[in-house]
Order: sequence, then C-alpha cells, then structure tokens
Amino acid sequence: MGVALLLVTTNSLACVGLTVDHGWVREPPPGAAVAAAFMTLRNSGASPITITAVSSRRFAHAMIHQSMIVDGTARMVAHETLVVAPHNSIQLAPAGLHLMLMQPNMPLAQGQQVQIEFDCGGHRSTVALPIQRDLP
Amino acid sequence: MDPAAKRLRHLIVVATLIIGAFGAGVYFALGPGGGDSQANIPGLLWPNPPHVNTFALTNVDGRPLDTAYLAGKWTLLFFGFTHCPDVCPTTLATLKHVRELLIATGPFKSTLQVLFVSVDPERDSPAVLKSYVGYFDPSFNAAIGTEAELKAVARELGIIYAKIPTADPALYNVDHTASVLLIGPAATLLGVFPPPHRADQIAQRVREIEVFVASHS
Repeated sequence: MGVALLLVTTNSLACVGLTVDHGWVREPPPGAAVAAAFMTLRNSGASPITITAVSSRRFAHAMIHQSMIVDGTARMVAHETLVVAPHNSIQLAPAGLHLMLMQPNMPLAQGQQVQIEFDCGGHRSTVALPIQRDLP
Repeated sequence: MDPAAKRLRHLIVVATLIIGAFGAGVYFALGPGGGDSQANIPGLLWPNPPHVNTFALTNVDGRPLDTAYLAGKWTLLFFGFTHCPDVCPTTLATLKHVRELLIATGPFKSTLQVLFVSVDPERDSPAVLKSYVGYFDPSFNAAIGTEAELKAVARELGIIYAKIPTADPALYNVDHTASVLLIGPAATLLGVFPPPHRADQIAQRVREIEVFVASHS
C-alpha cells in the first residue's frame, strides 16, 4: 500500500503538513482486548509537528507506545508525545513504535477500517486505516 | 522514587533471583571448557542441557499440563499475555511460519508443538487463551497457572516477567522475556532464541539442534 492516505480534516485547524502512509491496524485475535496500529507519519511542512494525543471511536483508549527489547526482555514504553521533524518521517512498525488501541467497543475484522484521530496541540486530523491480518 | 527507577529496581530484583538459578545452569552448559567444537549452533545449550522438572500448568481446556506434555515432543515455547498488542502477536505469527517450515519434512512432522504460556493469570483465562492461540494456528497450545506455578516454571526456564502498573490499574503491562525456547523430547531445554525472530532462522537452528543432539546421544 504505497499510496498516501489523505487525512480528513475534522475542523479548520488540521495537523498541517501531516500525512500517513502504509497505515494498517493488526486484526486482534478473537476476544483480545488490544490491537496495534502501524504507519509512517510524514511531515511535509517546515515546522515540527507534535502529536499530543491519539484516539479512536472504536476503542476506549489509544496510546503511543514503543515495544523495546532490553536485555532480552520485551518491555513497553509509553510516549506522551510524538514529534515529527520538518521534511521528515517516523515509522511505526511491528516490534517498535505503534499506537496501542485498547478495549474495542465492537469486534474488529480484516476488511474493516478504523478511524484514528491525531491531536497536534489543539489541531486535529483523522485517518482511516484498514484492518489487516498480517503485514500488508 | 520515580516509576522508571521503581520498575528498574523491581526488574533487577526479579532478574537477580532468576539469573541466580538459571545462570548457573547456562554457565555450566556454555561456560569455559564446556563448549563442544561441533556445537557451533547459536542458541544451543550443550552439553548438559537443563532438565525441565517443574512444569505444572493448566491447559486451554482447564486440565493439567505437566512434563508429560513435553515427553517425546519438540516444543517451541513462548511466554507472553493476550493484552500484548505487538510483540506477542508478532512472535506467534512468526512461530506459525516456523512450524510450517519444520513440519514439511523430517522428524518434526508429528513431534513439533508450539506452546504459549501466559504470564498474566489475572486477566487471561484458559478460554481466552484458547481462542487467542487458535487464531494464529489451530495446532497451537496455551497454558496458564497460578502465580506460584508460573513463578516456578519461569525460574526453572530462566524466564523473567514483571507486572508494570499504569495510571489505570486495569491497563497494566507485563514485561517478559522475549526469547523462544526449544525443549527436546527428553524434556531438556536445548535452545534459547532471543529476538529479533526470523522464522527461517529459528527453523534452521531447530533442525541443526535435532541433528546435533541425535549424533550426541
């Protein structure tokens, strides 16, 4: 999926310059209370973009997390914010940075889409990501 | 003490307890003078692979799962929890590929089994685990135990895990050893494969270990 997904602006103050490529949500196994979203966040603008919160109507909670292996142990680190530098990108990929989506309010399956909202310090943009069973 | 320092201290305490027990075994297995010039297989514990004595858990149907489960089988073992959004699904998907590669030919056709052990008895139940591992591969098994049973298995196999509280008490995380373990048909711990995991690489090492052990038994 090499096509950039256009961000839908929910109000006039969008996260200017932010685009999302290669986005997908891993289909959670039946009964699982969590899912993860992966994507490339790109900043085409000349100013840094600071994502201060993420949310999704399909989940009770969404957080910016990073899986880390420290001395052979899998650990999870929560990030309060995510800064995308000007003319730069950040990759959210399995076994690394991801959006942790917790407590879905309905069953999720491949073929559906999940809307994710980014809050960039009061500015908001939404992207729809496909649910995939495996790496697209 | 800030949460990060607390968490580190907790991990160090757990790690010290476990490494004390496991480290001795690995030291004797891999330590100075213990190496076998033919045993140049990454992850192989040889000679004197630790025997798995303590293995008393509960399977996905709520029945006992013990060392009898290991006898005569090659078992790939991974520890995790179902509230794990990234590392556990990624590893289980990898293990599905490992299994496909291994059962295609040779001695693993009817002897390979994959077991996922949950280290989150508070939130995971046999029923949840059944649908969770079955999603990745219908042949996968899962096990869980009481806190004491899990601690005993973890200590025996050199696994570290620690509950990491978050602001919302229901959303805690569990740090856990990310290695895939290989237990042989004699219920000995023959291999430890640390991440990053690649299916072809794990399959190759398992094959090499099987051939090596067959020629050294």
